[in-house]
Amino acid sequence: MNSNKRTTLIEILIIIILIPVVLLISWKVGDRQYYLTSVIVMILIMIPFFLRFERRSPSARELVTIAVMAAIATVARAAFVMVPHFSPMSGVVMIAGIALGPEAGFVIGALTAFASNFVFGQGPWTPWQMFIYGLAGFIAALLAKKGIMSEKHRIRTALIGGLLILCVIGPLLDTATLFLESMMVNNLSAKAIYLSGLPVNAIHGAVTCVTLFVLCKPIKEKLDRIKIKYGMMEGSNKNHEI
Amino acid sequence: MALFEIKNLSFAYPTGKGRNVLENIDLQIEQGQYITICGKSGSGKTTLLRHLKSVLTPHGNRTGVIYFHGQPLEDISLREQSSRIGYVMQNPDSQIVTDKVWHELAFGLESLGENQKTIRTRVAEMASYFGIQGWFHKNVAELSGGQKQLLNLASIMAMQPDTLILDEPTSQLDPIAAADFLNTVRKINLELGTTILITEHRLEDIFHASDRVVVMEQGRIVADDTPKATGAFLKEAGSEMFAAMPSPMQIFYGVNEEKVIPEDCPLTVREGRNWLSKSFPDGKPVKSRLEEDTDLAEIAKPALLMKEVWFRYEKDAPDVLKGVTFAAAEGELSAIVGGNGTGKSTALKTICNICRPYRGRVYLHGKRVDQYKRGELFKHNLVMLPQDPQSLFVKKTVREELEEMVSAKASSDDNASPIDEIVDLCEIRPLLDSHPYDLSGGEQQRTALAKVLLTDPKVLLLDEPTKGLDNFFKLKLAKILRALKERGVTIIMVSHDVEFCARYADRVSMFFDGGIITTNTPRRFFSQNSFYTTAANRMSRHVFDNAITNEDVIELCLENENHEQ
Amino acid sequence: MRRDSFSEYHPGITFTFFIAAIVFGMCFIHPAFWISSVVLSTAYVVSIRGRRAAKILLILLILFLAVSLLNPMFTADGEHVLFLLPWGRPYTMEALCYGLAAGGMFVTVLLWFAAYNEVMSSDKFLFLFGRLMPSLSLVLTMILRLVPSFQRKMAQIVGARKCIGMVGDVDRKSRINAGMAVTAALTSWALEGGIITADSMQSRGFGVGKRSAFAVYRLENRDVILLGVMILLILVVLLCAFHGGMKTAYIPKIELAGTDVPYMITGMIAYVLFMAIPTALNIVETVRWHYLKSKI
Repeated sequence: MNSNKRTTLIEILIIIILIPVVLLISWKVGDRQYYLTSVIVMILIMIPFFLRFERRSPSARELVTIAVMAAIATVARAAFVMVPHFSPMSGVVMIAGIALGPEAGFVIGALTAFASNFVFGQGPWTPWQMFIYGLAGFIAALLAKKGIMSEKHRIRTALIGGLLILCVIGPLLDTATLFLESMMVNNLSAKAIYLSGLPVNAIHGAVTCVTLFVLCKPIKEKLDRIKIKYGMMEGSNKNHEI
Repeated sequence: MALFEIKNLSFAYPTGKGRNVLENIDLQIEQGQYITICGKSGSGKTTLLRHLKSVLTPHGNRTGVIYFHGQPLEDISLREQSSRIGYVMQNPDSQIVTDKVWHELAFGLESLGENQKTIRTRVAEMASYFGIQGWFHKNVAELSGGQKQLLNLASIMAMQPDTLILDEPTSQLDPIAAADFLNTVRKINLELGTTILITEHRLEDIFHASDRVVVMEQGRIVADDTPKATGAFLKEAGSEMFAAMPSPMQIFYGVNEEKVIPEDCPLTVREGRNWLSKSFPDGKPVKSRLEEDTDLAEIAKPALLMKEVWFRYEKDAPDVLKGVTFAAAEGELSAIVGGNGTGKSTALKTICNICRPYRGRVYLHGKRVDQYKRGELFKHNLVMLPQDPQSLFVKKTVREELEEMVSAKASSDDNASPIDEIVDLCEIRPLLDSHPYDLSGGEQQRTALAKVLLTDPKVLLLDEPTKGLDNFFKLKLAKILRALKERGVTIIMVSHDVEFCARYADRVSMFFDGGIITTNTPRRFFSQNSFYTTAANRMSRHVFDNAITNEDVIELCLENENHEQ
Repeated sequence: MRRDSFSEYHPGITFTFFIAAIVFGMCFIHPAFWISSVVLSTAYVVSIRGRRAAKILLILLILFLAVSLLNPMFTADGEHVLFLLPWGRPYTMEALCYGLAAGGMFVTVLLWFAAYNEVMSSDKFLFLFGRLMPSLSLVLTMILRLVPSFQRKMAQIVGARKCIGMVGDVDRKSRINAGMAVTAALTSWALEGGIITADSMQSRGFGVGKRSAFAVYRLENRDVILLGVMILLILVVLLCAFHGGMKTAYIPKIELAGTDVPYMITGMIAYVLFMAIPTALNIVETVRWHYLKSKI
């Protein structure tokens, strides 16, 4: 309880005080440090998620499940080498979020981005990607909690997932490019970047849509099965007494 | 005081419909003993072992008590249990947690919160004792299966347990790595006095080293004695388990049907040789040969023909296949034996045209495999059962797995019948509604076999089909293979399992260094080898010329006895 | 990889160096600073990768040109118009200089990251964050262990399915379906394996108490000295920056802190010294070994 309170306090501190302070300093210093400022803000936002996760001291089973899902999201692209531009990573992250909840969803998304950069090379894009993919898992999980996304409504879930990529995740990834590559962040450069990103985001959205449509149900079932199996070993469990 | 004392333990899984997996188990385990537990799959061995460590104990209805050093096990803290009771599981890969060898060695000690200095010393000690220094800094992904299992053992030993429980630790290893591993376990027992509790299929390697052998059948302990006494008991009782005993013991009791002294029974090949020598004091026996097979005829119309096939994975990589020439006769079971990494599995892949040779050709029924049209090759022609049957499992139930094959073929006319027939052939009808991952190793394999057989192949390729199977499942597999042969299916099998090949293959080829060295009938093949051959042959080769199976040796012994009389 | 003596120092030092170098590289748009940063980061990458650096450098050169030349199109400000773009916007000198700075900063950050990827292996990163975030870093270790094993398993599954004729046909739809089936099969296998991993962790005492973190790295004397030097240089750079040593404006008029500003000179020297540390260590090491060899 106590440590929970402290975590909450840190969260409030970060959101109400630290983030505005960073923005203020950045504005005062000028020099258009969009990239650096945005990275610091993102790291600040990620800290509460990670802190909560640490404070809870997750069990071995939970850690393993999270690691397995993140590793699957990382390698899933390899199953589609024959299909150009088909990267199911966002879709798998969203499914993991839907099945395992917002916090796990965020952690899986962020760690997937981080781990896949260990394969492809870390770069200035790493913190952005961690944040964005974490967000994808998080939002999907929140929508699942509200009953909007679930494996039972495959079409709806797939469409929402695709839209989420097209309207939120994709543009955010473009923003990272914008901040990173151009010094002149103005209407013109923003328009150029977002417009040139549109076809990529459309494909990304469609791929995620297909991934969710096909894989959401089977993966959710597999995860449920594991939960029951763990429950059997645990001793106290509701799934089995029924 | 006994180390473990199990008193009247019974256990049932909540889903088990009241059937007890363990039934009134009473067992005492003394400090420093080496105890082998054997029994068929599903006899409750694993369940019993898991009860000896609280975190691994399954959930269910349990009666009875387990004492550890005189205290009930559940009263001993998990912390103490985790360091004092070590548990090695079957799968070498999945037990590893971290990505580096050094980190894996330290994992347990980190969990206990030991300080830097202690961990450093213990890890260094373990790396030296197990000969891990050479790969201390490696990624675990670079290790072989045998090294992985050794790493699992070392990282458990780093916590200095006084009991080591091993649940079929070598079932996923090749014979050489398995023997190495078991020798290390033996060394730990002898040099450190660590108590060993082990279940194994490969009884040949551990039987003689055991202080006691415990036999389980349907959740009960039916025998618990010295290896020799246990063997005698099993023979007396006519137990199925006797078929799993080491070859020398089976031969001994096969020859001496009447009462014998169990103490005289040989357990190892060395003892078996001495015993045979004593049986024939004046040198050579009267009859030392079994009837010779006819010479292998040239195969006129091979079902499958590989002609000087060369293959390497990359342009600059070394050659894996160096001019493999191989022919398989229609309706026969051809076995290809040979060590690890000699290219046997790659040879199977070139047959399937997944690996394309850069020189040489592969012909299936006289037609080059790369000239079969897309999809045609694997329809009514050729199919391969992968080494790990789990690679084929996608669905929730066995039934759906099988249906996947039928719908993929999109044959509209009566879908049910091919499945029905195959299900009966592979004896998996009771499993149809189970989840493929809930099955035992042998059942998974038969399910995978059923799945591949649904393509109605004329040529069936098997990659290590006996890996991890106990004797009973091997017998079932042999029965299925025989039925397939009767239907005219040609079977090509790659295997380490010398005993299986000697017994069931029609011809055996030796694969070495990227090529087939020799091909012969099993009898000629194995009686010409002196190392790479069956235990029965190694034991009898100084008196008999060509006995390769237990039955061969028994037959010759009995015939000689008749001659004397 | 060539032997890199900087990477043999304590991971804390390596990490501090890269963070500072990357952040400075992003901030200092003064031409003297960004040019020296590009030069020294290139020098370090070459000293680690040798000939293998050529490919990266070529790609980065193209990126540099693209970013520098494209950026000025998005602003019309500046006093000296070089030419008019086809659609009528002026392309100015000031904007071009600014663009070059942007390109240089972008490239220098990528160069530092290229070095980072060679030097900061995953164990080093995990060592630094293992104590701070034990659960997360354990998950990360597990992911890094699982990724190669899943890749291998995926290849096995694809191979196994090919050998029973379950391949995606030529059209996209069946290829996608085949990929989905492989992913589903892999997920089953991976989650079942996870049960064993979790058992193996608990069996080795995971969760019985607070974990400690074992490391193969030790803080030696030379690490402390180097860290002291690094921190000193960082502080000098920061101080100079604070006092306007790196003051730069490109648009609408180019105004730079010149050599007459003492803070600029001091800051510049400290910055160059700081960024030269890894390359210098590599050179010193090479010379020392040549010397030792010649003495034998």
